[in-house]
Amino acid sequence: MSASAAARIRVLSVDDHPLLREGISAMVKSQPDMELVAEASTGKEGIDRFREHQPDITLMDLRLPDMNGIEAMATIRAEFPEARVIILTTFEGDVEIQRALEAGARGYLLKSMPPKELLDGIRQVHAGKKRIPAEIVAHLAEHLSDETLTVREVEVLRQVAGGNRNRDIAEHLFISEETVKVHVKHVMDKLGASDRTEAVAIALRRGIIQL
Amino acid sequence: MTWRPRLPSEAVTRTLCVVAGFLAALVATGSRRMIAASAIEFSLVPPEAAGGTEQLASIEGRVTAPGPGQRIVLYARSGDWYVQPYANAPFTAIQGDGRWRSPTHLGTEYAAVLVDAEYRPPAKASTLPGIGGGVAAVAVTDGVPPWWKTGWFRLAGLVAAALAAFGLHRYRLQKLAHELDARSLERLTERTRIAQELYDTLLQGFLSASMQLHLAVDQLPEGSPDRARLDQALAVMGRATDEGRRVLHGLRCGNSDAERLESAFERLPQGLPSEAVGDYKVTVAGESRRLHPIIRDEVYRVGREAVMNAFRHAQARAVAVEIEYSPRGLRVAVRDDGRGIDSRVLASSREGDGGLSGMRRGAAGIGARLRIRSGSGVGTLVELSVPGSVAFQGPADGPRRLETGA
Repeated sequence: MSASAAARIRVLSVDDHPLLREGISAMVKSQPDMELVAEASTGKEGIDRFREHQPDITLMDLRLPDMNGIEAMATIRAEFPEARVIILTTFEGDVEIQRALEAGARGYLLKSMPPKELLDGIRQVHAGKKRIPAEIVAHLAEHLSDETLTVREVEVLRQVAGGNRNRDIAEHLFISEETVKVHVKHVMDKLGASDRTEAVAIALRRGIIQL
Repeated sequence: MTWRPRLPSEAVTRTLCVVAGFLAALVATGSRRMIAASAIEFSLVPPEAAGGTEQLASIEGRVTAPGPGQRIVLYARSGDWYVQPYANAPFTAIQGDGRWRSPTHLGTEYAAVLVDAEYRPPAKASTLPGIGGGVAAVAVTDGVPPWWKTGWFRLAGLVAAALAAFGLHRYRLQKLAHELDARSLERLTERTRIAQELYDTLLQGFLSASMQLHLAVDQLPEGSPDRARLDQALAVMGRATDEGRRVLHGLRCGNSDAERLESAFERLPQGLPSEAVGDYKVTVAGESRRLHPIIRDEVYRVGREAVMNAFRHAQARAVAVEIEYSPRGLRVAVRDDGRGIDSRVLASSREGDGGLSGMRRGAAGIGARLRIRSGSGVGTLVELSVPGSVAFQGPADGPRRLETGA
């Protein structure tokens, strides 16, 4: 492969973990048709580096110290609708994947994939295709028929996860305790949980809420 | 939420019935007594009082078919019987319709005596005159007790006390259930944080190392022996990463919380040296139910301590763990054929008593009852009971949703 400097795929890597950035950097730099133009360790830094370099491909981690990778991606895409962002993360819950794809991710790759597949994924997305691994698709399909929680229900669930009692939640959200109870019941029904703790556990696993 | 209101159990119902019967008897003791078959009735009875000359009250009644000239003599009791309303005015006339009415001083009891015209009543007597000799009928009644002494008031008081006790019991169970919920939530968030931290350090580093190793391997010529060895190392790393991810996932989502108590007990000997474990078996009665994770862990801890004590200190050859699920609650009994626990140790609660105090503390912390029976030659029975409202999560036989892990 002998690509001229102009035709190289220009990559931005956004990940808060230095060791992992090192791995990505080594991987990208080993490819003659790719070039690592910048690295960032926070969402805000990622947005700044994007504005600066306008890379062809942005590899975005979901968990960043200052904001969620999806938010950072949405901010970038609002400014640069053509931006091609690949979420590069470890396995996350179906809801998080769904949100990432809805927010315009062009690919969803797992850090545990062999580098060859990761690099192929980058090339495919650069060529205008979408790249979502089969196991992710299968995982998404599993919850396809599940009822989604309303914004309010997620809010209540987040409060439950914070160890709040119904009374506290009612106070925080300016609603009645009865309403809180109804929300909690709906959440449990929708998630198939038998109690509050299980509801929180399922929500954490599926990426509906984060701690 | 773990708390569900329950119908009072059979024992509670039985107790309430006994209490109600007792109370009904109590109410009935304020009855009126007739000494003669002739009918003197009281329609207004003054209050019960020690007696004295200061206070007067009305007493009223009726006589059915009095003889001609007959009249009423009233007495009030204050130790002895005193004629009423005054010693010099002992008679009360009967009206045409049989009614009579008079003022009287207060007493503990009141009596109305139906007498012939010529009868001369004693002004004071230790006993009431009997029938005959001019006395046609005698009726006695208790003074009306003050409201706080009435049977109904006592009944109401006892019922209120019983309700308060029941309410307190419920409140404590409810509070315990809330506490347990809070504790398991705390544990879940703590675990999630640990998982997060491990993920941030170990897993990410591992993934990075794996990526770089992959790249290095790709540089090696196809078919070189080094490449085969490194490929193998990479495969191991891949498996370790997957495994680690699964463990973190389990930590984060509290998958281990779904384990049943019986399987935990069945796995117990795995952690012990095989020569230390004799005959060990676990039996389950009733339909296995999902337990609150905190309860399950605590019950397991107490049960494990009992099993360890049996094998380690009591030199038991056989230990049986019985787990019983019933609507009332969870009961776990650990029975052994060892040499028993010294009764002095059993009675004491100091440290170094073979984990007994720890077991007691553990049981108390989850609102459970711990009973230990032991004797030399008969072995030891450690019995732990937890009320159902605290112990159980979800319905008895509801389908348990299987969560597919990633």
